[in-house]
Amino acid sequence: MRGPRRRVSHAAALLGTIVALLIVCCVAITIGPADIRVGDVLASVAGHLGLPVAAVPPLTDTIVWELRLPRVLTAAAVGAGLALSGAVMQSVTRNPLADPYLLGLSSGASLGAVAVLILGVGIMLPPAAFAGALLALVASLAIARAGGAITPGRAVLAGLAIAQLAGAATSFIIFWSAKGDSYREILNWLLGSLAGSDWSTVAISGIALAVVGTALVLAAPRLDAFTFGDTAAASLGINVEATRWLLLTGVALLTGAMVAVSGAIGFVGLILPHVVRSVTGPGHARMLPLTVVAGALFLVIADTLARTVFDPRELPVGIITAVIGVPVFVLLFVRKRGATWA
Amino acid sequence: MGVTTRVRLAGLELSGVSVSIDGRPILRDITASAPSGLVTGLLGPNGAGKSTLLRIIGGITAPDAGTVAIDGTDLAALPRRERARRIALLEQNATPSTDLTAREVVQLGRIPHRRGLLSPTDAPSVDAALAAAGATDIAERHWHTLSGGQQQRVQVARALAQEPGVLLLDEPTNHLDVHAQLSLLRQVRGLGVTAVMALHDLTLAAAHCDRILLLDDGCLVAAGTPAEVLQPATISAVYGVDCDVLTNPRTGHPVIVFS
Repeated sequence: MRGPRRRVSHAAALLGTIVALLIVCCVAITIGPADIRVGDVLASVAGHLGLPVAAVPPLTDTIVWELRLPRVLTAAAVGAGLALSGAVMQSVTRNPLADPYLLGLSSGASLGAVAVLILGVGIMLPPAAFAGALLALVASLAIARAGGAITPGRAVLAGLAIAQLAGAATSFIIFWSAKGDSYREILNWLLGSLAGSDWSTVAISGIALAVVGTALVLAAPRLDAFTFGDTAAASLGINVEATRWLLLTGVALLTGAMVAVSGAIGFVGLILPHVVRSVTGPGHARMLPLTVVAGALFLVIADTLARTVFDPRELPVGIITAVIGVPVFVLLFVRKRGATWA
Repeated sequence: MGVTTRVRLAGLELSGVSVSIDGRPILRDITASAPSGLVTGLLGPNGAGKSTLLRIIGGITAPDAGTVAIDGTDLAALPRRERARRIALLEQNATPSTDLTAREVVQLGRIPHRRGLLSPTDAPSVDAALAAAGATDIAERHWHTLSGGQQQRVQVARALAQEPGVLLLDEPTNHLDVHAQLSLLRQVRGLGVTAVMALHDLTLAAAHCDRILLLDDGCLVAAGTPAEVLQPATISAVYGVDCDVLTNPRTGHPVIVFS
């Protein structure tokens, strides 16, 4: 039987991707205007962890520890969180086109962020974006629930309505009050950017990933039960309504935290789950862990490109993920024609 | 089917089951039984309440009144997972959202038995269920490459992997050709499990069920052996069609012909 052999190769794929992620993170930190080597990166990190190593020059140490390391770590956590959220969302709604922003989360977060950026409301950007995302989630679920049980179709439609409303409000604020350079700052945020990363964004995204992400990965067997729909899930002993609420809320918290630190980076949550599924098959116990690591790897690479391709100018990373994501998306779409994608 | 899966035979007792959906009564005061180890056919016109009754027995819809007992245990008192280990349901026209292999579909049946992420004891149960359903040779095929009859066999295997005492089937012969219909029904019978099966074709039901429950507009109008229930007067009253009941010269089963 192929069972055991496949399990070994899945473990190997996961391990290989983790190693690749670590190497890419180290290399990504060395890329940029200052001349930094992998050895400097390791020495700086070791030094800050209190290990007895030769000191790194202070300037190099500052660039590694205060600038590039937090940025790479934030990119990794955000990529992991978005890819995981997308995978769970696709399974819960049984919709291959679902992404983490399906319930209007990105539009809600954008509204919160733009309100802070332009109107100068006296709070920090991440909490405002997070509050906007949660508000959008609550409104979407309330609308979806208004006419009875929450079905995937109703959740999608409710999210669409909220996204449109929040989008209109965001446009209105920008149209009415944005001046001069604030357009660039807003656009940067709306397209998604990791330029504002520091240790506080590492903490927000990292804690969200560790707490909510772990819970979502552990919910894997329940997600399998939804493969044939709600009735099948119920007949397999799953509490369908409660499980859907919990999973949607988990995805919203995780996505809200990620959007709060980086803006709405597109395509990671839509594409990565499909790519990983084509390697592992649809079983969530194998698929979700690899999705987490692959999402991290993808966004670290995309963000490194975003800040170096047009150096010294920096692109919003959302442009890079779209440029890579769209062709991959089309390829998957063409290959899968006639199978699962109606 | 020579291969045995671990099936615990169980009988069903329904007493006074009623349910309304959106204020409309769907089932009224159903009291019936499905004896252990027998195939019970659930007949009735469209909208008679067959699927709803199966959903209630499967614990997916809760009745407004009445109880369903499996081997004397009230279904409502069982935790969901425990219920899923005793009763398996085959839906009509189920399609997966992702492109699973047949084996992966059957593995879904092990979910009620899982503890944590890894369950090393699954493989023998999955293999036995595939064998019992005659699906071993198509185990590695992808769902969307299977014919309708093969998909139903895989669904039967998935249900068997739950190792249930009772198997519920909602119009399992829908969209199948004659050969696939007959082989599926023979197979269900050959499993030796307690089965409750909603069917449209009266002659098929007469040939493959031990007992018949006839529903009309949410009420149980007749129960008994096929020969007892499938009388021209009863069929005419429930379905509004004129018919004769003949006897199959080779099997002795009732054959319903319409005129």
